[in-house]
Amino acid sequence: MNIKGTQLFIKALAAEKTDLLFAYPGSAVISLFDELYQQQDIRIILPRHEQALVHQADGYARSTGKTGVCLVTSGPGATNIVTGIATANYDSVPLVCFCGQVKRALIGNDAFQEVDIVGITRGITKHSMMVTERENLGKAIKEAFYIASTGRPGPVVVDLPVDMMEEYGSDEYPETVQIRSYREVGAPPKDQIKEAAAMLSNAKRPLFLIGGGLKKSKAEQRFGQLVEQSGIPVVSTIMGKGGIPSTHPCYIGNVGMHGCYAGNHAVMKCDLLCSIGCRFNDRITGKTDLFAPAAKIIHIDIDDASISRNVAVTVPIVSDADQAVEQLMAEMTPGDYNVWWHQISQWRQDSAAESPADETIFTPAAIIRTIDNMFEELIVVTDVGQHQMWTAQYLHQNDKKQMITSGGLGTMGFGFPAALGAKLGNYDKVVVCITGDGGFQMNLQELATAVMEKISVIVVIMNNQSLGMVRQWQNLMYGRRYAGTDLMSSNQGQQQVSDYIPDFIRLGESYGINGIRVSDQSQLEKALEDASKAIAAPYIIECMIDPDQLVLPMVKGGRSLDEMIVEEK
Amino acid sequence: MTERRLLLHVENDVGVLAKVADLFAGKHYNLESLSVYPVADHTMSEMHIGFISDEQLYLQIKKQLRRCIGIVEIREEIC
Repeated sequence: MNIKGTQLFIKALAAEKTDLLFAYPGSAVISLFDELYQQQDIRIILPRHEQALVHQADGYARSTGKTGVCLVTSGPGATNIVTGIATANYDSVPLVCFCGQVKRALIGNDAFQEVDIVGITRGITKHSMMVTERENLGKAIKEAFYIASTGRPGPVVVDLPVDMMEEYGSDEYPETVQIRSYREVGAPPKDQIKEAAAMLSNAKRPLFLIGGGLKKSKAEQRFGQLVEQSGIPVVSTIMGKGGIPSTHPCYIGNVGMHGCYAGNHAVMKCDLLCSIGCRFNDRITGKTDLFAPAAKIIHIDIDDASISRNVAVTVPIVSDADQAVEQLMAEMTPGDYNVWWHQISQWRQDSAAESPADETIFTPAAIIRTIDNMFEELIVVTDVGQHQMWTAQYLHQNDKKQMITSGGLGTMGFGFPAALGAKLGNYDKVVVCITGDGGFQMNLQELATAVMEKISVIVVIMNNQSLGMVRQWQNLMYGRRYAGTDLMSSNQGQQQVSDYIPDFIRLGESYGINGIRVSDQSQLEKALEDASKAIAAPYIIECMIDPDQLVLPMVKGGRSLDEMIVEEK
Repeated sequence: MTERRLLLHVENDVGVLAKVADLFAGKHYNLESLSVYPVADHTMSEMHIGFISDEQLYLQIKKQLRRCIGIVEIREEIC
């Protein structure tokens, strides 16, 4: 039977078990919207900005493990999702982004709302393509879902010219794909596993470094067994935290620019670093020449191109993390690491600066710990900045507590829409968006989406009246010249306002949302209780904090990991 | 820094050349030479590329080309 391209699109989404479509209309997708209007199986989420749309799909994908699906119009609709595509690409999130496109005859003519979105996104997607022939539509959609979700996941852009979508053609949606230029990653190479296992067995000061790839591979359980069996200490990247419960005695903490004191020292002194699903980003390594100077490095990653890119690796293992962990476990014999553990305990004791003494003071650490203690099962979605690092430091993570954050790209404005996406995929779980006063304002129009779609996310705004992370750098490295970071002033500090703009609580009221401004611990606990009772609506808790609070420890860019600033002078 | 040459078997399709060119441009490296022509049944092309690089960049470029969808095979050519 011959059907329209728009009809095949609906059929394809149903075959891919897409239950949510994050979509914003425009002239190049109006016929697709018309088709969507006539069906009930796919729920349409209409955001208030396309950038938020793609972050919502991203939050949904990260929290469910499914592929997030987006639909936007051509031109500005497509360019508005570029930041979100790059965000998903850096953090290996499976997304399929359908973009409307002008009629085929107009392509390349600078037509109204025409951009070359395939070209624009070439460097920030796993794959991008335009479907110019109606007969290729089914195959292209199938390939897009397959590419996005297999191997190292990532975003795929599919550009759909409007006239092609209205053309009649085959109703067939293929069940399988064959792409001769797409390489599947096979089983871990035996020789390298043997070599790595021997190195782990013989090391005196071994250390596991786990990244987001470990969780993407769902290797948590087996990795937990490997750690139990070997007694080898574990450090993580921000994306990897929770790969083993953060309360596990073998878990030291995060490493990198805002890593913990003991973790960063452990990296610098270990004699063997076994990295699983981490790509040695510059925020993790500090100065690469000085990174882990005494260590041989085993690097397990599904992406060949991530290996030996930033640091030289002794044994590369290109493989799925779970399979590699399983085989390492079978091959290795644990050694005696008592001396090594004694040293690590010493560093832990030395790091007094990381544990604020008085929990009753309304510090960022206290805020995060209060949220942490309040809920046993929780998805926390952060924005980007100081609050993100505090959450990464203080939130406990395990199989019931997940943190979702823009790690690689560091996209301000990500948090709130991604939290909405996470809640849409997890209606039975508490979702808390921890955000800053800066980042929240980058996508706060989504309050309308949250209300309209009845999404009960708890929004905790850590309001320090400034762009805190940049301010922190200005504080520590630029003579406290707070250029462009004070949100209560304009014209280089010449003009000040007495009250923060906007009043987030009154803003919430205009959307019909309840909220409260809090400035101490007991108020926060009460507010969280009230917020968790809010059904089918978001709730805003604005925590007023001191702009001079710093994220510590900190390793300045281009320094070695053991050169940490641990307290404010 | 050594002269390198690679022979790529690629899909004869829109955007594949742009992918290869983008990879080099994104790393701020110059392609010294390039020739592309269709082979066999015209569904594939051969792409000869020449560039100057050190060993580490050479390895990295090969790996990144290998993960490009559209590039079917990569062969090293002796300069």
